[in-house]
Amino acid sequence: MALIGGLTNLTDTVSKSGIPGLAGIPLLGRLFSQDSVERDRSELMIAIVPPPDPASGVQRRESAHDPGGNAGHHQVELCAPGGARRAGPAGPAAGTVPAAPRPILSRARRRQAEPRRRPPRHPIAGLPAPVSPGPPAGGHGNGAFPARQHGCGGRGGTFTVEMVLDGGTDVASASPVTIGFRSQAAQPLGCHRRQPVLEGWAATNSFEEHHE
Amino acid sequence: MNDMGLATIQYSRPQGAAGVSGPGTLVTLRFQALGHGATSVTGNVTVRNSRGLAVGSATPRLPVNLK
Repeated sequence: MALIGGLTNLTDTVSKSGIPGLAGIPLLGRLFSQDSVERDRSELMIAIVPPPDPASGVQRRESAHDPGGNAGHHQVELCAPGGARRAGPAGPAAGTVPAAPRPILSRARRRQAEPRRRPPRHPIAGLPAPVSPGPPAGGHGNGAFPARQHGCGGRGGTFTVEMVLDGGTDVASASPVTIGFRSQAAQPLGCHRRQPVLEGWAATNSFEEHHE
Repeated sequence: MNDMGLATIQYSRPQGAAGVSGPGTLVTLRFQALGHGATSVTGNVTVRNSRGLAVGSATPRLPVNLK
């Protein structure tokens, strides 16, 4: 049985084993047979996150699950053209900005088997975990991790975001992936793919601007 | 005036190839700030399996504050 609802895929596998003939005897047959139910629950998670800063040397940790797919109260802060570099405890370190925690994507894949139960799998396995220097402002307990920022000063800073996917099985296409932004505030400098898990995918990119 | 930019990326496995599983980055976008204010980067994607069935979709959003 496979139930697909939204981003959750729940699969129950019922299997019965036993000694042929004896297992079919009413009542006594249960002594010679075994029933098992295996439940596989996977959640497909998609998020837009700032990537970790490799120079920080801090590894990201798992963040809270946000099935709504929204960044919630988290945000990236960076300098606009002519903006001053922030300093002090509340400000970002040079070249980085304290930013948003991993807003959206997280994966919780739990596999239960009866009578044997398996522990839940750690969400977002394989994805870099967010840095957690402290509780994020207005956050839900998600860790915050730095986003790279360059050119803070005369020119506007640059920042990088990633759309990440986790929990998918047999994923063959993701299209269209659309990323919207206010073009007066920021302009894209380019996009590319990084993770080898998606190697072999054919991609076409385009950038458009709409003026309303 | 509300100027909206839109980046559209189409991803698909080669015809007849099996789907992939596990975590990964669909796309990495690099932006340069042009002005002050609050904005956000929003996404929209529908993921399909090798049979063409939609297995999930999401509209993630990341607020960005340009100071």
